[in-house]
Amino acid sequence: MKPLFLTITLLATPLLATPLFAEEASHPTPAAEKSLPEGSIYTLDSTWTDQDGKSVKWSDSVGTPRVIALGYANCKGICPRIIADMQRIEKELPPESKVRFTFITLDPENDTQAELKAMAGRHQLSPRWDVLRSEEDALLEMAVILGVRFDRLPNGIDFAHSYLIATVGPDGKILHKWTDGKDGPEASLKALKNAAR
Amino acid sequence: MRILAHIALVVGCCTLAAAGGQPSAAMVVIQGGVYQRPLEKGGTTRTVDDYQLDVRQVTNAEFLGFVTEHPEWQRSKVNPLFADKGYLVKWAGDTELGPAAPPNAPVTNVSWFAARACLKSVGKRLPSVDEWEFAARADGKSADASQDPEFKARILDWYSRPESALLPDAAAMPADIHGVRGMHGMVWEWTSNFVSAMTSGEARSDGTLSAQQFCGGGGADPNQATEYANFMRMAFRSSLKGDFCLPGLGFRGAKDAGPPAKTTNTP
Repeated sequence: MKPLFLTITLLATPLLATPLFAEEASHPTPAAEKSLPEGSIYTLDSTWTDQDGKSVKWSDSVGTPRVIALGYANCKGICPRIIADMQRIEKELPPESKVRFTFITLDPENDTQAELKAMAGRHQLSPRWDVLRSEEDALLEMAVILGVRFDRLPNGIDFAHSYLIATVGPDGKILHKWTDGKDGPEASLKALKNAAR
Repeated sequence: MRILAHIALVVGCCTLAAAGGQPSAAMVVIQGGVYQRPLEKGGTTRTVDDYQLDVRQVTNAEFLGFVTEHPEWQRSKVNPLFADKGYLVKWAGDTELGPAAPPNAPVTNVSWFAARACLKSVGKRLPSVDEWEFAARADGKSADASQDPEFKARILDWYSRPESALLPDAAAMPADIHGVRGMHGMVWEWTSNFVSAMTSGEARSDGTLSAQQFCGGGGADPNQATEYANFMRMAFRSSLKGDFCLPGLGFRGAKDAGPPAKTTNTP
């Protein structure tokens, strides 16, 4: 209903002017000083809730590189593998890295905040992780933008879904998509490294 | 005056701003039910709730009204995340249709994002794959003609025809038993969850499902050769990305079936 682009611009501008983190105040990146580039997912206007119940928006992430995947809490199939692969990326990062990890549920209906919190515990997710849920509409938008395909199976519990781990730069630009489980984390790490320069 | 404006906001995808005050499509209620989703293995069924569906596709004139009211969706201003270079490419300008885009023809070269935004602006949404397929089984005589060989042949005949340069009026096709027009034979249409179609892998050229790519995949059984038209639609959906703007791809609105509303619009 609202003019989306206008809303985004209004939201993004004050955030760009006010550094989110102290470290950015001392080392302002050139990308964060300008407006967000074409194709930045940080221009999306959707609102999400993390595993601790905190409300977050993509504009909050400006200046933060992210590794993003979609799945669901009780997935017995490829999600544990996706999470393990994201943790392989995490393990290679230097301790001072600003990279954060995002796991978005495909099943906001069943994956309550408590479910997502429990999932974070089961997989021993570090404080770098945000496990997010939102409305169906916002979820679909994110899946379409990242190129994740998913479908609820007739049993009503499980989903068919893509193996996809997206690497996003500090400006919200999608840098790399890890779409084949047979590959390793090298390309994602390289993308993050280049973005950090 | 205020009432009129209110009605226009509720009813029109883009009503008054369009030159000539093009009314938005009327909707009909489609009674839901249990159905077998085409190509799904194992005789599993899907339940479709009652819903409302536009009797025809959204037209160029209506979409012009939308982009006039929402300039951020004009061709030169659209966020490239939301539409590729083909966006409204047949139009003469940002707010000018021109000879290649007849006002009453279905609007095409619109992305999933743009279709969604246009419908949202009038309180509608895209139909889901199941809602679309459920309604698309109807012909003039029956709500489910999907097993009628003649019905299947007609659809396949359309799929094999080359695309016509200039689309006819969106309301030009005969109405089916629901009063819905042009589900087949006009343009392909966006669905809200086209991402649910996974007949072919994006990253692979051989078009086979791979366990490395999809978790729980393999629910679809393209071996039902008689359902070739369904297979074509599913394959088409599986090849789409949200920013694609294609000359033969348009959309129509849907809505949950609420209490019956007063209709002030025309079909």
